[in-house]
Amino acid sequence: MINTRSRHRHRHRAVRLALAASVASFALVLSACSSSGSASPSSSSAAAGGTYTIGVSEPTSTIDPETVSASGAMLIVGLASEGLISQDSKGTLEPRLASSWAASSDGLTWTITLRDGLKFSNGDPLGAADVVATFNSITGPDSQSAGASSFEGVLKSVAAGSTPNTVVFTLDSPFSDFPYLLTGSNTTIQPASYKQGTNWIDNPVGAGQFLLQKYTPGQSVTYIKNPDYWDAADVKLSAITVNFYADEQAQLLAFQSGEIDQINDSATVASTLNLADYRQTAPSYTHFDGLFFDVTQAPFDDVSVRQAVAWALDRKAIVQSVYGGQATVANDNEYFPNFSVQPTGIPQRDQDLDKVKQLLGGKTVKFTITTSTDHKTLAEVVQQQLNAIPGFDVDIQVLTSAQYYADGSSTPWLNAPVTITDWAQRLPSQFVNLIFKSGAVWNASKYSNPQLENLSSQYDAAAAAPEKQTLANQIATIENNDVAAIVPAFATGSSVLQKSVQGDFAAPLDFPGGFDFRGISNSK
Amino acid sequence: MTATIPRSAAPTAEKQGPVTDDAGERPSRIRSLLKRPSFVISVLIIVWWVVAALGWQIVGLEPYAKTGDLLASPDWAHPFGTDNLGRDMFARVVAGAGPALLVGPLGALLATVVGGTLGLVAGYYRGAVDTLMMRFFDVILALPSLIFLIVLVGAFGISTAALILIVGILFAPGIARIIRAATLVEMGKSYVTAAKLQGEKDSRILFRELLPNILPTLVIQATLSLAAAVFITASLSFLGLGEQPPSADWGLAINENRIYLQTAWWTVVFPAIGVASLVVAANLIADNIREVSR
Amino acid sequence: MTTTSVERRTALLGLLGKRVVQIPVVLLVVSILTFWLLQVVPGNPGRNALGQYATAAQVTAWNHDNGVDGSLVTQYLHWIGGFFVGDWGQSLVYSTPVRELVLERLGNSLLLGLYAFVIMVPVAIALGSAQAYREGKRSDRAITVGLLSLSAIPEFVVGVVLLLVFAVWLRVVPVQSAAGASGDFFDRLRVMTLPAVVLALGYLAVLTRMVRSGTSEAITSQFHRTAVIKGLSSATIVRRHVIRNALVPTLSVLGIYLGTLLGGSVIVETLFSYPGLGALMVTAADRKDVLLLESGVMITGAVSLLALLFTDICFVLMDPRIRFNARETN
Repeated sequence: MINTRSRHRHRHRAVRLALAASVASFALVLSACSSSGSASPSSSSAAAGGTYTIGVSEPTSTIDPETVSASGAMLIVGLASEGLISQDSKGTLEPRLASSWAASSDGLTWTITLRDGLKFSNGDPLGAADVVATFNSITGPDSQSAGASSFEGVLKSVAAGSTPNTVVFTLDSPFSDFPYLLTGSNTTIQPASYKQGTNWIDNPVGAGQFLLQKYTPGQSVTYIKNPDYWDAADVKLSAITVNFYADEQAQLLAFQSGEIDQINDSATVASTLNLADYRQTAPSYTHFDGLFFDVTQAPFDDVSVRQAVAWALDRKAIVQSVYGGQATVANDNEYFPNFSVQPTGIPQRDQDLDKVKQLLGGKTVKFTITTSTDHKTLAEVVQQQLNAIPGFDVDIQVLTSAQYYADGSSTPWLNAPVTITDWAQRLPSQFVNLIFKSGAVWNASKYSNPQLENLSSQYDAAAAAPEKQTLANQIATIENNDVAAIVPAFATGSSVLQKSVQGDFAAPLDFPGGFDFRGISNSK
Repeated sequence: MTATIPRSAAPTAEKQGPVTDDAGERPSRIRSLLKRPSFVISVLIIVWWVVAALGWQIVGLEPYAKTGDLLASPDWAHPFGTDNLGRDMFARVVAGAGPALLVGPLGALLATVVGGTLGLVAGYYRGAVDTLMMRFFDVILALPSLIFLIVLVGAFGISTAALILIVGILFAPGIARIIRAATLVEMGKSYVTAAKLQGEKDSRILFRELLPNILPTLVIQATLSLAAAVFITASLSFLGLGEQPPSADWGLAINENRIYLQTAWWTVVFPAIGVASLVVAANLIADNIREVSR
Repeated sequence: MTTTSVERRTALLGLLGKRVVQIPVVLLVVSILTFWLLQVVPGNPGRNALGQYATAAQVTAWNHDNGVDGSLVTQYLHWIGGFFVGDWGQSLVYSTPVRELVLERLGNSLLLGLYAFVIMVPVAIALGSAQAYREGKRSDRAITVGLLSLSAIPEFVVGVVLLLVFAVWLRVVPVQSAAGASGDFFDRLRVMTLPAVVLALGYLAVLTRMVRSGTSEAITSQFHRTAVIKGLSSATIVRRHVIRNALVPTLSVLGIYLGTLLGGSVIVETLFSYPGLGALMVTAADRKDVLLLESGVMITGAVSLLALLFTDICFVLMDPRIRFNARETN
């Protein structure tokens, strides 16, 4: 393998030289026209910690911190605003605008203490009233924020505390992992005067590490360091540029040309780049792509058929071909490996053709997997693996995301017999509430199990570690046995960075990590 | 190829003398065609792809199964290498001839027949019929082609039959415009006037007198649309539509694998050769026929 | 000669007079059709804005707030009423006034299209006429095969290869060609070179074919032969007769492509992140931003129709074979 690779590289080099020679004249013309001689737009005065350039695809909806749903838009907001708490790459909670948090003894209220002297970028002080207003706006009856779903049935009310700079969250029932919800999407703090539905770009106020300077549609967003940030001393970069690329491959080429400083690692990126030439951030878990069965319809009303599919998959091969190694094998439960409690005593499923044969009992199951274009590779690999085994006859149907997540009661992602949908990292009990609870909106499996729901609420209320462990084992055993959904792997995300980037990111650039640039500088 | 759609690829100014409908000349034309190497090679290429499209299942090729390592470079077991899912590229390129040969030629044929007929009729009758038709075509031509494509795919889906229909709808107006112009040129010639004076029926003048003389222009338009039609799947796939994996369609393969261009050129180059060979062969055949029939 | 020019003038005036009436009608039909057809495109603006995890009620509320509920007819009338008085509405996708957005992108697209033209036309004329003089010979076939093969490679592959060479290996241009949109003129041209070349390559094969057939026709024609017999120098012949005749088809193709370049360069704009009108409209169609799409369609539609008109005018003025009369030119 290594041999073939190095041979390739030689051949590549020969082609490269030939091509370079033949186009040299054209290049000369181009560079003659070039005033600066450098192609990089961000080569302007690299002050103190330098400028960092990121590539994203341009947001295609109003940028409103309380409703943004696309990752690019979240980054644009997240650089200039800040939440109460964030998670580092290991899933540990980090204080951000909040300095500390504590639960009452009955577990029904959580008191959050804010740092002193916080300021918005427009100079106004940031206090408890702004936090209360933000959460009321997100979770209010008229809220259009998708972030509201996390707090539904959990948060009863939010109010300023008795002492200054404290905020009290009152819950419907005890929830020991409540602070994790404060790292969720759409939860950065806006001024109390902010109105949901506004185009935030027109007046980008926030308390983040950077100040939004200029938004040029179709091109880029530029930021400079926020001198009033509560931890400004640790923010070393003097500026950030977010470039818009409409094409994934263009982004990869931009990274190779040095135009941007980081790119998300993926199967395609890993196969193209020689990773030794770059730095890589520590991987952290991001999401899983679950295979959901409608358990009310034949053939999947038969649990042995669901189990047969689960035992038929070659998960290690999936990790390689679908995720390019950027994932770990999962065992059909929703406990991400970085979560504080890990179920024990359940053997890891691996491809076992004898078991499949025995579970299928000689019959052939025929079905179609429906998914969106984002998960087509996984669908193709699952189809490929299953069709190689006697007893399966699998088709796939790949829809655009607009079709797959269409509105209405017959939307494919919640109604097709077998679907593949991705779920970003959440708390295990959240998954039970959102996708397995009887009648839950996103219960694509139409699954119902009162025992599981009961165990899950006990888990949320439990505070002691041993009790949590026992409950987690029971929950994961049920999920693993019933196979309402197959979780083949937990995907990790990491970024490939240019060597000029110094320092380590505390968390990946995503909303749970709070877009934290402290300690990062760029010598480019 | 850019023009996803050759809107009206060109108001061809190819001048053709009235083709005499003399059966006696045909065998000699075929003989002189067979003496042209570029014609013979092109025909052989088309024949090869037709055979491939019909026969790949018989010889037991496996375009969908994992038969090798991921992104393995070409060797004896996999002469065209393997793709990112370990599928044999040779099998996939051969199997991909099927969709290309269905959508391309049938779509182009539909567009040519519809566009050609309407263009002839418009150019022949002129007046209100002509105005109405041409302005209706202007409506279609005025809609940006890719936008129209997105809408048509939304309406008809992306099955092979739908794609053929879509190619027909998209390309017919452009062809009609060009054929109308060519018809206008012919209308000024004496043989049409003579036929009219002799009181020949309209249908006879249209299809027995005019059509043979416009045929060369029509053939060029047909081959140009063929090339663009083969490309429809690639453009659709670029737009995030029209993906129906694990199809081995060439256009789909080129777009899906282009990101591996630096690591695994074979996943892009071989399907691209498939497309190019089909397009070039069709055009060369058309060129040769035109030159011989001059 | 004089009768012909009089005929031509009448023909031209008739043509223009009719089109002045017809083009707005066609555009009106196009706008209605677009509004109606967009309904079959899957998707929902509210869902697009709020993401897959927003509830159905939230999506409905968002659509209401942004004026994309209610009957199609009301929405359409509201839009067209505004369009005529210059109020093109607010884009759902970009949250900016549609008019500024569309006109700015139109300028960018025109610039890119013109640049591509400037690259493409001389090359096509040189190659096409060279081919015509060698018609049927091996070099003629070789150029045909070469150009056709090139045009048979999708733009996004040609573009990626060029980016690899010039942006990644040689680093003389940036990958994101939008970077130049704000720089000085020459910097802008440099940055736009690759997209323009890719755009030009796509049309080169067809254009060269047109020049080839136009030229070959001219050099086999009577007056060419006469000119040769008269002993005119070959340079004079080429200048006086051949180029003119080769230009007839070329000009009409150019007219048509001007329209296509505006609506059809989506792939190039996407790959090079160039802020043009094509990609803007695909986004609008994809995200169901109906006001943005409508205005974009009207603008590109007008440009396409004017380009078609231009083609027809060229046809009347330059093609010696058609004896137009006013009746025939509609």
